[in-house]
Amino acid sequence: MRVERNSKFTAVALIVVLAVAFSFLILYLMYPPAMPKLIHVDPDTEVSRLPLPKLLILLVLNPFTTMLKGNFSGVPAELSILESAYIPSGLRFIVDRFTKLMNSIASHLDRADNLMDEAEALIDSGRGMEAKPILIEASREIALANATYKELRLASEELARTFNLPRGNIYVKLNDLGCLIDGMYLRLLELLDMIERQKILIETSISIDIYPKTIWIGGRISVEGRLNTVFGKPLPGRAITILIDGSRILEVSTLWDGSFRVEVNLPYIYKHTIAVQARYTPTGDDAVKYKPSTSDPVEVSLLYIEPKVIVEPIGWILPGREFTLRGSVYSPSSLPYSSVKVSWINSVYHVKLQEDGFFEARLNTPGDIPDGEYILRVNTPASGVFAPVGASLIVTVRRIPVNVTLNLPSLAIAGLSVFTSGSFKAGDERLNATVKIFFAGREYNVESDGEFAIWLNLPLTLLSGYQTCSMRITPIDPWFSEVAIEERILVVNPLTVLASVGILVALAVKVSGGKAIKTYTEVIAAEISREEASGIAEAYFAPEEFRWLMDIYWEAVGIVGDLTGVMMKPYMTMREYLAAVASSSYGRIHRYLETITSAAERALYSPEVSAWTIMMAMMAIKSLRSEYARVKH
Amino acid sequence: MPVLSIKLIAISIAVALIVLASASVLLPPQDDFNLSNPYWNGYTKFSREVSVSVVDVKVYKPDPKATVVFVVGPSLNITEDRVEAWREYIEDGGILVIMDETGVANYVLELLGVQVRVDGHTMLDPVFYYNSWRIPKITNLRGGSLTDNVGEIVMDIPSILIIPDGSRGVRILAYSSSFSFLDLDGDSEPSDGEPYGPFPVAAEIQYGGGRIILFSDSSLFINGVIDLGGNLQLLKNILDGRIAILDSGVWRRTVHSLFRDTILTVYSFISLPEFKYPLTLSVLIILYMLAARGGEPMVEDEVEALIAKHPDWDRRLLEVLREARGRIE
Repeated sequence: MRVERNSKFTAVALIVVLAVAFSFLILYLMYPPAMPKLIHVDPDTEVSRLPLPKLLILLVLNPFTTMLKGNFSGVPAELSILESAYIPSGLRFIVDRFTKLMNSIASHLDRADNLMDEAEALIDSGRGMEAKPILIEASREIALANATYKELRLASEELARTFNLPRGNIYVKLNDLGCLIDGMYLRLLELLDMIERQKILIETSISIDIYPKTIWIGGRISVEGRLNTVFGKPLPGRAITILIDGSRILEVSTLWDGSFRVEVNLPYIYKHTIAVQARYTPTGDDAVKYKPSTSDPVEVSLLYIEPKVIVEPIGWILPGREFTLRGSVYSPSSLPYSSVKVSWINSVYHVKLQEDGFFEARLNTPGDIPDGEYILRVNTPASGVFAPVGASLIVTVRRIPVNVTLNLPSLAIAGLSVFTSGSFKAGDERLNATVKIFFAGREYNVESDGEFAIWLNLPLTLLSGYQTCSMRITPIDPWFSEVAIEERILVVNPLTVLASVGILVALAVKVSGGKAIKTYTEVIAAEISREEASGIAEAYFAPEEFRWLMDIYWEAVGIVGDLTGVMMKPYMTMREYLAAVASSSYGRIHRYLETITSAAERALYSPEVSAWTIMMAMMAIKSLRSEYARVKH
Repeated sequence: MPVLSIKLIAISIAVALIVLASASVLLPPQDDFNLSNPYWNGYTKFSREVSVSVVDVKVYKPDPKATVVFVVGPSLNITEDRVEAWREYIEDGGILVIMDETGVANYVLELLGVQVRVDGHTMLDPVFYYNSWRIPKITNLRGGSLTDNVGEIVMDIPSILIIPDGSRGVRILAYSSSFSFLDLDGDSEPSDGEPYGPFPVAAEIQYGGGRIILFSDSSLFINGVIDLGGNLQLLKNILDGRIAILDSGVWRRTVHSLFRDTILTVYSFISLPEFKYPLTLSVLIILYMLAARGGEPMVEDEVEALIAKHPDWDRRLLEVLREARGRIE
């Protein structure tokens, strides 16, 4: 029993030791081998490092430079570049404060600049009083920018100290920025001064009339007008600018009575109405004497012909194929041009017009464009009184669908080949295509004109289960659709099936054991076997060094039982069995058994068995075996 | 003195191997780019975000029109037949993404007849980076649809691409900042003579009916980096609905990873119907056998055993005999 306990302890200890050893082995083997070059690091464990000051300073100075150039709206973009530089989260607020102040200054100065531009335009047109409130608003913006600038100096100092930036460069830029703000103040004062000076200028007035007010495009109109002061004094010899829709067309001088008259050739602007104005801008001595003035706009109606374009594609529009486009250009009078421009997917066609305005063209559709909707445009040129017109059409390009039939067996055996066939058609039309089948990691290619047959190999390495077979049909002609389909085949691997069935059968045989054996001899043998099993249990009562003697005894019992027909019953003692054998007529066999029984009894009940007894028992068993062999043969 | 027998040792080793197998499966691998590695250098996030399979492209050819093959951080020498498999894949309309910073991919590019090369030296950016200069941010993106909605990408110890003038069919997708520099002497500091950026770090090359997308960094999509910047969006743009295929034949793997995969393969093998059900039956049979054996009473006392066998014998005499034998022993 002690030995049994020791065995259990040893087993548990061994398992634990091996498991621990193997676990350490895993931990050791888990670590990847060192690479010759470090290819990556864990970003979160990297030690934070500040940007290089000599480079970071450039990002700090760039917004200043942009602002000093007067490009105030460009400052936020420059600051966003600075913000995208690496800033440790703990120091982010310093940069944020700097960028916020810079943005604020740029915004104030930008607004002030725009306001002053607006005011200057008003002053230039003699409306100085209207400009004054705008300049007041501008002065407020400049004041805010100035106040923010003082904060910016402190923020810049902190930024330079934190990131070890060269302070000198920043101070230079800060001073320049201060000068810029001062410069804007000076401009503001100058504009205010201009308004003050305008108060003493004499107002002027200009009026115009136009004939005719409705005219064909490209025609000539007569513009008449008069320039005088608000007091009615004519201003002769002054230059008057004629404007059409705000654009300067020509200049004319006033006559002795301040009047002017000019013939204007209208440009080919295909609009139904245009606005005509006259402007007087004092120059020279007049600039310090008269205010500028602009006439009220006079509208002129323009007449022109707008042809009507109708287009229609004929048939199914397919990639890689030409199609016919028909159309016509309708006009109340004959067209002055002979062609129209057709634009279709990166190509331009000049299509000839027939006399009646009808046109027809063959247009090519590229073969590599995907299915979808594309715009087709037809444009007529501008020509004299004929306005340019265009027509757009949304055209659907769609490939012809291909119908595919794939015949796959529902079940296949690994290690064999599978016959696969199929066919494809586009409606009733046959077509040439490349058929590709991807199955079990292999690619099968075949060129086909509508029907195909392929043997698919199923390697023995393929495990049982459903396998996906994907097929792609790529038509040679681009106007047919590519088709991809997937189907599944149930694959059975005979090796794995046989292996598993074999294991199961072996286990079943093992379990059924002797119970399934039914012959008489086997029954006897099974009985002996069971008796031997009990004998083995008894053998443990004998000292270990004599257990072999007990084995000999049980062998002898078996032989004797077989020779005499006297079987040892479970309740019999050794002596009882010996007596039972003695009653039979096998005297010699009985003697052999008696010798062996005597030796076995000594082994069981006595600590010592003499060498003589052992030798006699050995001789007896040998004799028994030879007797048994003789009888059996 | 413990008794050791071959049977005992065999059982112990078997049990320990089962423990080892279980531990191997439970402990995630630490290999770079491994789909089961949940640590910073793994690809678990990659596998969660997109459809991905790990196959050896030399053995298993994927459908070029439905997949994108990734060759990430090759650590083994790449053979000519593998490059040939890639070439066929691209020419049939596939997209091959090569991600390498060591220059191993240059052999592949040479065999494919592409003029672009990976420099192999480390590119650092001392201004635009994440935590350290070794993890630069790339903001100058020009990839068209490939970089849609990608504001910036973050790289991890990248190199740069060398694109000769006049290279045909090459489109540069991304440049490093003008502050980046190539660390030729390996001191991680800008030194005299070291070139400054901007450097191309990603390019697209038209090849046959397909494309090669080349990155000078293999770590764009590892767990620790994929969520930084627009890396994940870049991955989705590259795939554009296709299935990602990681070529497993370019990696040197740890013994643990190989063993773990073997265990998982065995597991998937025994999960097959023809093994699963017989195995269940076998286990039931074995349990039955063990239970039957365990049902037999254990013989502990020889006197009791003899009395049980021969009820008519004298118990007292047997006990006296046993005592006598004990004295002699």
